Amino acid sequence: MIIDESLLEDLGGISGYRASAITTNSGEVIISDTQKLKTDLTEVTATFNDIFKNAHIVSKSIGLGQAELMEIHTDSAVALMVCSGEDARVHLHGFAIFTKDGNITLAKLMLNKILPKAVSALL
Amino acid sequence: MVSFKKQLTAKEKSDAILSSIKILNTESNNRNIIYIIEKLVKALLTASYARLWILNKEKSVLYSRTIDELEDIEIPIYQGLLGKTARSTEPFYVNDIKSSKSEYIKSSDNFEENNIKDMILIPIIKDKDVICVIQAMTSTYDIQQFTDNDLQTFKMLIPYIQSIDLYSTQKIEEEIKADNKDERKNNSEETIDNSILSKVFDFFK
Repeated sequence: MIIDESLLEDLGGISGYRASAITTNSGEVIISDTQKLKTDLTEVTATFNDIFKNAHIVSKSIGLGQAELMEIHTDSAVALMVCSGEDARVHLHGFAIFTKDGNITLAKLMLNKILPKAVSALL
Repeated sequence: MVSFKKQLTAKEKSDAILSSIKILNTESNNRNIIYIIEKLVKALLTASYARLWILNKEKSVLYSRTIDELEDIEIPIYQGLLGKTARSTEPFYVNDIKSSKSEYIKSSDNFEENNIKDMILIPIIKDKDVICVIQAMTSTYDIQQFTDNDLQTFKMLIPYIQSIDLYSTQKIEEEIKADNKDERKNNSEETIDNSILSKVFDFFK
């Protein structure tokens, strides 16, 4: 594994945690943790990745700058997506799914902490 | 399976260029020369695919000599990113090409239908005219993407490619091709694999 899967362990300890993954900007999963999720995370991340990529394009085209974080609230869950930096040599996306009553603030902080570590592990 | 190719250091880049130049200086076969340049570009830019397209202004096409052993593949210059490069003077790159709003056209820019992710395109200009276009691409499974550094890296190589007379070496080869097409076909692959390319591959290991 080119990035250590244990990087995701810190997310697993946050209340409401369901699943997480780090992918390339094209949606290929590099590492993932799906133990608490019934559906196929590869399909889920690919779908959310497309949404996030569109957010990248739209936010740039309307002059808002680069998309860094996206948060989708559903009836029962919250999906978080974080970008490591669009123009860098390594452009990764971090995904995490939490239950709605989970600690979303801490989850966002943790995702933003994990992604630079994943980039550093490669360079 | 995703993979990450680390960028070469400045010394590794200049060593790679110098090594390839040494080999190219002893090579006269046009197809082999292009093949070695493509391999060098792939190594320098940590790309998975690279192709050198020669511009034929009379026919308004770009053609590649290394896709098929016997036939040259032609792409019209009025479409796609390859065409845009042939009509311009500036190198550029497009990351995540499939979701970008670029002029990318699959049938011409990626007619081999490789699993590509990012593309960098560099026009080689001689006497104010584009003589060829170099195209390099990462794979969907590559984590790295192109940056401005890659454009700078490539600029190291431009003066040398400008100095290669792709047209005259081509003429020489075509004369040979006309005289002995079948014999050239049999020998060409062997020549590439056994002599020149093995030296290049050894260097980049």
